[in-house]
Amino acid sequence: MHVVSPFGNAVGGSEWHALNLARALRRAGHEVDLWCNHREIVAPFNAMPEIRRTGPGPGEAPERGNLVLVGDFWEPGPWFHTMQPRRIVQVLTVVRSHRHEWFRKVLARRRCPVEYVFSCDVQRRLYDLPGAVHPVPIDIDLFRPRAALVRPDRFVVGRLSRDVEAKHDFVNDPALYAQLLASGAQVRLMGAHVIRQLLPQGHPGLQLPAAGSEPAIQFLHGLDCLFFRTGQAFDTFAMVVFEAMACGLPVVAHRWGGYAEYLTDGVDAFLFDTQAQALNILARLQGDPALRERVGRAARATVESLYGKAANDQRSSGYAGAAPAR
Amino acid sequence: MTADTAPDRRPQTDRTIHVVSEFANASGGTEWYALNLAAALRQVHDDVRCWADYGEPDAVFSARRGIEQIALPRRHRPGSGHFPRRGHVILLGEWWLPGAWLRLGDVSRITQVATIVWERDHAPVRAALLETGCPVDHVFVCDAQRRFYDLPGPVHPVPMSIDLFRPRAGAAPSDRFVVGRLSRDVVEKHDFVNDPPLYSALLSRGAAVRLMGATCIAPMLQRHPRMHVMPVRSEPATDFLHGLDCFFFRTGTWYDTFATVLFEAMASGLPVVAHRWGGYSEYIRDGMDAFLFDTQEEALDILETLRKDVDLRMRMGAQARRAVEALYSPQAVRDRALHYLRPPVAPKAS
Repeated sequence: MHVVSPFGNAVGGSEWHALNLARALRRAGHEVDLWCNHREIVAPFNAMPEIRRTGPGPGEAPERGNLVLVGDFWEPGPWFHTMQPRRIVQVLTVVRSHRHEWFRKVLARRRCPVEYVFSCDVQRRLYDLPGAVHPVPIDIDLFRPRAALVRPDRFVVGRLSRDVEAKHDFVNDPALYAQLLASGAQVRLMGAHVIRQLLPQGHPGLQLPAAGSEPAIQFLHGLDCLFFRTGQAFDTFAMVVFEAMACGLPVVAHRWGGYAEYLTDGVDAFLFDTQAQALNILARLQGDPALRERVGRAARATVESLYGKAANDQRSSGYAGAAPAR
Repeated sequence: MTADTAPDRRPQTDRTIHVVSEFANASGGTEWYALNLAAALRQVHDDVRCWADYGEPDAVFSARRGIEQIALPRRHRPGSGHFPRRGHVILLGEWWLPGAWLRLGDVSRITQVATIVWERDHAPVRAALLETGCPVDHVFVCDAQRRFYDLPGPVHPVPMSIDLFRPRAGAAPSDRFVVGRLSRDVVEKHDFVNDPPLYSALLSRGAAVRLMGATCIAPMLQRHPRMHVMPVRSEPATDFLHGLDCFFFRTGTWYDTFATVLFEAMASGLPVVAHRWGGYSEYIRDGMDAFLFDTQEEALDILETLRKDVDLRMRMGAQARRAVEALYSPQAVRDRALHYLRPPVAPKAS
């Protein structure tokens, strides 16, 4: 099996999706080569020997077998046209890439079965294609709860994401953070420099570490609650939500995201529609460490179920072997 | 030069105001902003020119007289080229960088009118404008946008012609309820998660749904005799709006800083039901001249109330018309146009 991604963006969800998918397939016992679509590969991926660069030389590209393409927003390199795939699976990671139709025609020309995998059902319905809906693989052995699950003496709310305006609700998030700070909570936002001008200036309880300035696991262990809401982006999955849940954190997230399809509101996370609902949930969590612990434990149980061996084996088997009969 | 006329050889002076847009997309709000702004400026100033700075303009614009095509000078032909050389340049849109012409002339002021929220391109474009050494000032469409860009400048509603968009003649038919919207036909203009079930709910309650510019989400929409999905520009916007009894508006991954169509609907005397997440909400008094909602349930409740209550529709529509008449009164339009004739607000250092 060959998993291919561009590996051109260090904080791109599709890149991590490809890496984690290859690892998940290996954990399920499959033989997998992980490839970068081109010779150029950005840090930190360039330091990972498991990612191979494609090139023109012998053995420098996928030759035969099952091909798994992660994303539909990039153009496959020259290797693609000489490879003899038995079957192609394209994992769609965004909503309706502008390159999708073009990519679809390119794949159709290979005259081998092409299937699709989606991260959430709303994405599948928007593409209007058949295919399985799989959660994006994450490493729940890496993302584990910290030693002391709950810190009753404090309430640190935070989030991490790419540092782009689309990942933040620049209309409502600043007011919510200001209110949290006013209530005595601390706010840590990694990847939020793009909205720093909208945030309370010089508040001792507000920290804005740069994106990638500390390992995600370390950042999450410094929080007591993950808050998540996007603006001009629809996250079909939002791995960070599930990584936070794997760390035993209560998650408070806007309902507008593919992740909502995997969560049970009020049990393993909280989903909200309005600013008032979000503030109400956060206030409850701030005042009730036992609730944080209860939801955090349920969150961990959910991701253990979602990413357990049986579930992973079952999803992985869908990528192996010949294409299923139609 | 315009597509249908010779180059305008009128001399440019320091008084000349140049309105420059890409004019690449006739469905784009920024292009119409440029045209309507030029028209408003001509009411207070006698030397206003309108330019296209992006290859061939959209056919809709190239057919209009008065939009001049920027042409760079030819090599070894001193004095050739056709572009703004002197005066005050107003650039519509913050995501595109004007061509080399901006550095060749001797313009005295650059005003950048921000029309979207797009940090990635705004910062490098602003830096490039400042490199010209010319004073740069800004105009915004809503306060959320101004705060995001963290720059000084007035907030102006997008200029539009409320004479073109007028209430339809005759009373609204009481035996029907047609809800609709129009927009560019791109996924980001639709809430593809919540809009399809909302339209289904409307259909189940006996309403009709007309969507112009929604073929991109057609696979998610219920097939129903009262559901009409059509490509953008299938019919003139005025005709389309006159066929509705209520205008519904919500976007997905696109933050509309203004949504001109919403005000065109109000000018057409339609009750508007819109999600609060948009710059237009800063101009609307919720429950008085339009309805704003936060949740799907609220939207459905408002729409159901309007469906049952024809008088409420008429009252809201009339109030909506009054609101846009106030927003675009001759005095208000003139005051906003005069802003461009006054000395600029000094922006803080980048």
